[in-house]
Order: sequence, then C-alpha cells, then structure tokens
Amino acid sequence: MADILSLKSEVIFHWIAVGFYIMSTVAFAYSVSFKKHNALKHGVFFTLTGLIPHSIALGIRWNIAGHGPYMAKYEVLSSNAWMVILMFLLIGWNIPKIRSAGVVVVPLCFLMMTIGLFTNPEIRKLSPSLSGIWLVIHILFNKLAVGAILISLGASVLYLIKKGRARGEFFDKLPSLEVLDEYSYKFIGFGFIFWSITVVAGSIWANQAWGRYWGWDPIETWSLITWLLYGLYLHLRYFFKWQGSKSAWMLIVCFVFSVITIFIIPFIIESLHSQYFM
Amino acid sequence: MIFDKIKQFLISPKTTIVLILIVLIACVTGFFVPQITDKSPSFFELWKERSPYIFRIVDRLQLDRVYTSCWFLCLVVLIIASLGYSLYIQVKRIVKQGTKNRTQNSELRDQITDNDRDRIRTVFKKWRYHEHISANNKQQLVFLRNSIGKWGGIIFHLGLFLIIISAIFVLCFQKRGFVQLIEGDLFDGKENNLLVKNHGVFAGEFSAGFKTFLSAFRHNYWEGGDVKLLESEIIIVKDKKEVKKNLRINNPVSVNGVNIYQSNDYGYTLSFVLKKPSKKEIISHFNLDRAANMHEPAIGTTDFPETDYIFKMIFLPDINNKSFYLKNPILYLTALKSGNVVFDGLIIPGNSIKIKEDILYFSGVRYWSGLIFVENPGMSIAYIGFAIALLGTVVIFIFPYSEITVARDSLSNISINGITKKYHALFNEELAEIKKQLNNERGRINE
Repeated sequence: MADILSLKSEVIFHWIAVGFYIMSTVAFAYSVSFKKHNALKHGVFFTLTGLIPHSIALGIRWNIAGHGPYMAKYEVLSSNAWMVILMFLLIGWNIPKIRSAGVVVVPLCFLMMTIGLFTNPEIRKLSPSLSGIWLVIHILFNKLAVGAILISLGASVLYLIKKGRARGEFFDKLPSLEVLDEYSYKFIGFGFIFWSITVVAGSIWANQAWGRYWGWDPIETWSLITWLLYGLYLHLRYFFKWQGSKSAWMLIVCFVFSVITIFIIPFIIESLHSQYFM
Repeated sequence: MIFDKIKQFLISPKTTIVLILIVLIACVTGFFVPQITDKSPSFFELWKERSPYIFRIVDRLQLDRVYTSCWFLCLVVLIIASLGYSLYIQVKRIVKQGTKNRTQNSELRDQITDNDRDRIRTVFKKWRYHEHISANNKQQLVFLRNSIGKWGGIIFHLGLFLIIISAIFVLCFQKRGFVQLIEGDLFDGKENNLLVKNHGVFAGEFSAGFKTFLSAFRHNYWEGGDVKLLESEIIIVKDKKEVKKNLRINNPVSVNGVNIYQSNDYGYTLSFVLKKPSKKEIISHFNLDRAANMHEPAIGTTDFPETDYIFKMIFLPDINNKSFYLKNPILYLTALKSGNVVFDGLIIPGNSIKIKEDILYFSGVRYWSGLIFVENPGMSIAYIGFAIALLGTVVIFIFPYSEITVARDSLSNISINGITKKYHALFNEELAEIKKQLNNERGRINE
C-alpha cells in the first residue's frame, strides 16, 4: 500500500517537473524568437525548479525499485532527461554563454520525459546479468554522452540560427560564431569520450557476463556506427577543416544516428539490451 | 617509389576517411542483411529458394557473414597497417619537434629583465601554464599547458590499434565451448565433450587441463517469475587437488587461463533405465530446457539410444505450485515405435512402466547447468587497449596542448603569440585575456 502511494506521488512529481520544463521551454523559445535575452534567465530558473521534483520522483522510484532508474523506457527516458538537465545547468552555470543552448536541450528533455511517462511505469526487477560496477559505468556514461551530445547540438543549432539571422541585440550577446562552433566541437569531444567509455564498459561487462566482449548485437553494432560517425566528424574537422555550417550539419546527422542507437533500435529490435529497454 | 606511394596512401587523411566510411557501411550492411550467426540454416535455405538471384549476390559478396568475410578481414588488415604506420609517423614527428630549438628573430627583440619575467610568470601561473625552461632565453619566455596533449592522438590510436589486434587474436585463437553439466556429473575438460564449439580459425583443440564437477545448481526468481539468481557450485579437479568455486552470471571463475561462465541456459535432466527382456539395461539421460514461463512445461522429443523408441516428453518440475523448482516433478510421456504410440501416460520419478515387452524405469530428475568455457589469449591486450584508448580520448579533448611565447620587441612592447592543438577560437579568447592581464601588469613592468 505504501509503495503504491509512493509510486503515485512519484508520477505526480514527474508531471510537476514536466510542467516546469514546459514553462522553461516556452521561456527559451520566447527568448530566441523575440530576441529577449532576459527570458533566458527565466528559462534557466524554470529548468532548475523542474529539476527538484524530477530528482524527488527518481529518488522515490529508486527507493521502491531497489535499483537505479535504468530498467524499461519509463526509467531510462526520465533518468536520461534528468542527467541532461543537470549537465546543462552545471555547464550553464560555469559557462553562462552556453545557456541559450537550452532552447534545444530543454524541449528535447521534456519530450524524452513525456514519452517515458506515457509508457508502462511498472517496476522491473533486475536479471542476474544486470549487476556489477561495469554496468553502472556503462549506463552512467551513456547518460553523460547523451547530455554532452544534446548540449553540443544546442550550440550547433544556435550557430545555424545566428548565422541565418545574425543581427540584433540578442544575437550580439550570444558567443561569436567561431566560439559557438568551438563549443559544439568541445562538447562533442566530451560526448565522444563518454560514448567511448560507454562502449568499453559495456564490452567489459559483456565479457564478464557472457565471456565475449563483442558480439555484433544490434545495439553494439549501432553504438559502433554512432561512434564511427563521431570519429568521422572529428577527422573531417581535423584534417579537412570542416567548421562552421558544414560541421553543424554533420553534427545534426550524428545526433540523428545517436537517437536511432539510443532510442529507436533498443525499442524495436530484439537484442541483449531488450530486457533493459522494453 | 612504389613503397613511398604505399606509405603516403597509408597516412593520407583521405585514406582514413574512406576506411571509416567503409567500416560504417559494413556495420550497416551487417545490421540489415541477416547474418549466419543470428539465423538458422533453414532461414537461408528458404531465402535461397524464394530469391535465388539476391541470395547469390549476398553469398558471393559474403554479406551474410560480413564480420568474418574476406573483404572485411582485408579491411581490418588495412586499418592496422594505416594505424600502425601513422602512429610511427606521429611519434617521429613529435620527438623531432621536442628536440628542435625554437628560433627567433633577435634583431626585433629586446631582452626581458628578470623583474619582468617574475611578473609575466605570475600571470601565466594563474592560467595554469608552466615555463618551458629549455626554450627560454633572454629575449623570450615560452609557456606550455598540457604538454601531454601533444600525445593525445598517439595514445588514443595506440589503444585502438591494440583493440583491433586483440580482436584479430580472438578471431584466430579463441577457444570457446558450451557444456550442459548435470548435477553430480563431471566434465573432463576435453574438446569432444563440448556440446557447442566456437573456436578461432587457427585455434587448436580445446583442453582445459582440469576437470569440472557440478555439485549443485541453484536458481531463484523474482515475484513475477523473472530470474534473480543462477548459481553453479563447481569443484575444479586438477592434479588430484579439489577446489570448490561458486559460479554466477557476471561472476566468472578463472582457472589456468580458462574462464568459466555461468550461462543463462539451464534445465532438467531426466534419467531412465530401459530393461530389455534379455536383462540388458540401457541407461539414458535426456536434457530438457526449462520453459520460458513457470506455468508452462519443459518439452522435448528424442530417440531412446539403442532402441527404436521415440520419446515425446512434457515435463512439469512442480505440478502443485507450478514453479521452476524440482519439488513435485511429473512427466507426461508419449513413446512411439515405428510411428505407433506404445505408451501414453504420466510417470513420476522412481516409478516404472511397461512399454511393450520392455520395462522403463524413470530413475530420477536433476538439474543441468549451462557452463561456457573460454580460453582467450587476446583478452589482456583488449583491456590494455581499452585503457589506453580511453586515456587518449581524455587527453585529446580535456588536455589540449597550448604553447605561448612572450617576447619584448625593440619598442619595449610585450608581444605574445601562441599555438594550440584544439579549440582555436576559445584559445584566441584566452590569449586576448592574457594579453589584457599582461598589459595591466605592463605599467608595473615598465616601472
């Protein structure tokens, strides 16, 4: 009975968080559309406020489930959104110029959470293979990679917006095009590190669980495809000086592939990861 | 001449891009085209029947076995050659740079006084730069940050190189086998007793060098019936010494360089003794996989050795509670001989039934546990490669190398210029800020 009540309160906290993220999305969209720099502050405020009920909701769920929020779509999507929001706020606090990337980051998190909330919220128990430190590292760094990629995407989108209609006080207050491009590159660098750690930790975990570190499972294949694509992006940038718009568009392509790997393949194709996502 | 061309080809950026693209295409192909490792032979037979033309193309290009195809292996060899040679070139280049003296145009530069040097040093210290003592002289100061950053690319690619080498090692020398070990039974560690084998191309016969005895198998479930724990209690017998070990999923045991893994597969072993009228006794054990759901029975069909009987078995481990535990086992047996049903009924362990002129004694039920034996000499290389590659990515992106040279021209102006490996725009902003701070110090410097 107590668990059911807690689960209900967890859902309520989740929806409160969604409410704040909607307000935050509106504030960010308003700031970019109407070139109101002050609205960014409201956006950040609502995001920060939303993170509190979101954290409480995940905390309650963790407590009831007895494991971290990484089983089934409901938990995976919510905890991914939480990690991205947290990363965005921490980075925005450290680098205020990057806060405007919230116009991309927050709506995508809100979308992730909402999709998750419409799936089955039933608590799933862990199978014996889903344990150990390598699993924790694998999942944690996957979430960090999602965060870094989304923030990088935000910087790229801002770059394209600024380049498209570069006039106005709002855009003057944004970092220069070169710096936006560099931020996008920098966060992709972090994303690449985190993605690499995800793949490596996953491989070591697979070796411990099944005695092989690579089995060309659909998710393994797609994570390699995404990793190679980011590798391609980095090499094109380094060797062929793909910067600016070219680089921004390439990053959007990479992002699409990341979405396919993290959010589409595990949900539609039978694989070792199915029990974790389904 | 030709060698120069090959060398040039191996380190060309275009080659790198093309190689990445081909691996990408190979992975996408491997995902979309059904692979022989994932599908049954009957699937491919059906495919061949339905679309012979497409099947022939797929077969010729080895697209149904992408990752072990000749062209993919050639690609891997090319990647290794390209990575290896570019690593060599990069190391050579950095070592050369390290020993090269920084030159300067002394005509344009004044000497920096000791007093100025201290103040400049203070500014750079705030920005986490350290002095490059050997490059300093009276006219210039050189400051470096993240000297290791120069090695980032090399470290990362070295890690990648080792990972690929280990993958080749696995492909060539790995020995891997699956055993269905029955409780109270012994596996002699020999190749011919492996139920399923997956050895590398150049791997010899598997021989563990020890025997494995399964003393107990434990399993446990969550409320909904999902598996919570699978554990095999094994005894390793080697040189007349016995060592007891517990094996669980995610908790393998390593003996003599051979790793033993608990598989997800397990089930029930039904043991029978068939007594012929001639008093000959045939003992046989049949392994049934456990059902996916605890409300369903384990099912199997098999020939009874040395007889014409075919047994169709429907087995429930716990008729009362419908659990996976062997509590109240019961078997619904249909025995066929030459296509005719000769027995159809229930039988519980310890009971006998008469089938035609023979007596079948259901002697007992035990668990069997799936154990995977792996001998993989490349694993340690892979782990070292993982660690090095990760270190490399961290060095590349978190510790980018930057170098700033401070000099004073003939008009006593402080001039700074720098180079960096990454984030040039951000570095330019930093350089401007450092310049500002140096200019603030300038009044003090000129005093």
